[in-house]
Amino acid sequence: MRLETKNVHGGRTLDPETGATQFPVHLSSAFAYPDSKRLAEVFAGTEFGHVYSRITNPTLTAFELRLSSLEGGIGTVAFSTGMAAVSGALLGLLSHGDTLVASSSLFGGTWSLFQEFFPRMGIRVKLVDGMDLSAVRAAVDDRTRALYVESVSNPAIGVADLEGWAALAKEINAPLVVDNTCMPAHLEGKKLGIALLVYSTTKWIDGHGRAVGGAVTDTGAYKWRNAPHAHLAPWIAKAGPMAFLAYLRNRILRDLGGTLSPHTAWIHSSGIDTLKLRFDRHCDNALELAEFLSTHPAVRSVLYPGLESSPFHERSKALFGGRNHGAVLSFTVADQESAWTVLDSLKVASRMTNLGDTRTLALHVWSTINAAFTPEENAAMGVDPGLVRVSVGLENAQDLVDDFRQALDAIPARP
Amino acid sequence: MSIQINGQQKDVPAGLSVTQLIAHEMIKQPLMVSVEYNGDILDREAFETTVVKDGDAVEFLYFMGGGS
Repeated sequence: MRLETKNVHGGRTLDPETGATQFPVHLSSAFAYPDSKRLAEVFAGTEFGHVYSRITNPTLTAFELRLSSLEGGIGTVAFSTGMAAVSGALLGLLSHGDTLVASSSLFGGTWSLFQEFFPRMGIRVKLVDGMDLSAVRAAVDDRTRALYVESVSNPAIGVADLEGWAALAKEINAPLVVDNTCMPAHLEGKKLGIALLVYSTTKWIDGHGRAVGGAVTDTGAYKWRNAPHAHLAPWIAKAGPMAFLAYLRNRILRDLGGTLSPHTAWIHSSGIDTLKLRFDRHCDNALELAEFLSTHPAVRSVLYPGLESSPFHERSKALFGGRNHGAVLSFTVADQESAWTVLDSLKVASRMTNLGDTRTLALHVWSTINAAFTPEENAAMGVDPGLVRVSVGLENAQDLVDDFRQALDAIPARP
Repeated sequence: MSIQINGQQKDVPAGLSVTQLIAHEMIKQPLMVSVEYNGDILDREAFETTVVKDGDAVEFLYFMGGGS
């Protein structure tokens, strides 16, 4: 099945009683059983069933099956937010004394998790230039238990050499975790050798700015039976290839509780139907806007892999199928004052955070989502005071070009 | 032929693959079930190609988790 067909039909079954094509929202905290034996069998895992919605819920299961189908994964666990998915996946892998080697070009929330929380827990995080594989390799030590990178980094819009990352991960027998929020369903994760795909389903999977959510999909590429993670050993014995997903559900969700609401699972599932349709248009608009921005005299640089001039263009084509290069671009103007002038002059695009809405979203990263970081930290993340990040929406492309043109024209001429 | 399914002796047609056995036994949520075949958890890719034999022991397992 090609992606558009998978979007509509993948992981889906009709209701056997009613023929309903949409699954219901099960707003039930817990589930009753006809006898104690059956309930015990469900707890033991020898019978299928749900017991408590912190751990599983029929609506979440239906959403997880659809996500697994999208990515061709062996299973998915949904989380309450993208950051719950990122932290859940990594806390599922890492213990005190372990090392995580990660790209420094990261979403700010992930940066903060790596720099503030993990060191307090005794997890050593080595942030390196993710575009330099020799730097990644040099950071690996004998306690490295996971590698982490964003497929398209936010907001620096670099495209990592995922084949290189995956080859290194295989060499050191560490799972490669990739945040693929910015290119949903456009990566052949298992073929590349990526162990886990992490998503903020808030973004293009929902696609309409309606609610927050996250997910972790196990692609099946990493052989958990060979994993050196001591805490996973009992799960590997019980569940084999499903070991990590079982751990995520039975320990991370059970004990840390970052569970997605059934209501949001239904909403995000409904976005999957039109994912490819929407994403194609987002990407076409992004390219048209990027091409225009490249011609405006007030713009110092445009960061978008769809541009042939981008250092990541060829890699993006090879990794993501050749047609789409993402729906996020960043551009830089002279300074913060100029960036604010542009943003405040926009009439179609909205000044706000988030990505992947139907509307175009524009943000001055330095003074908002990255305001808590030092200039050095921001530099490592590829952020400077003149950077504007744009999540390009589904409006008419010419309307977007016209909007950004008049906004850029509002920057006063400098002597 | 006679095999063990989740600890119970059962007669099933000969020559079934694991995928076919799942359908024959009307196992719930086939996309979510894990299969332990003669003590080893099978990779999902092996479901189609593993043919069940007389005397085999098969466990259908779900890692859904318990609650509070």
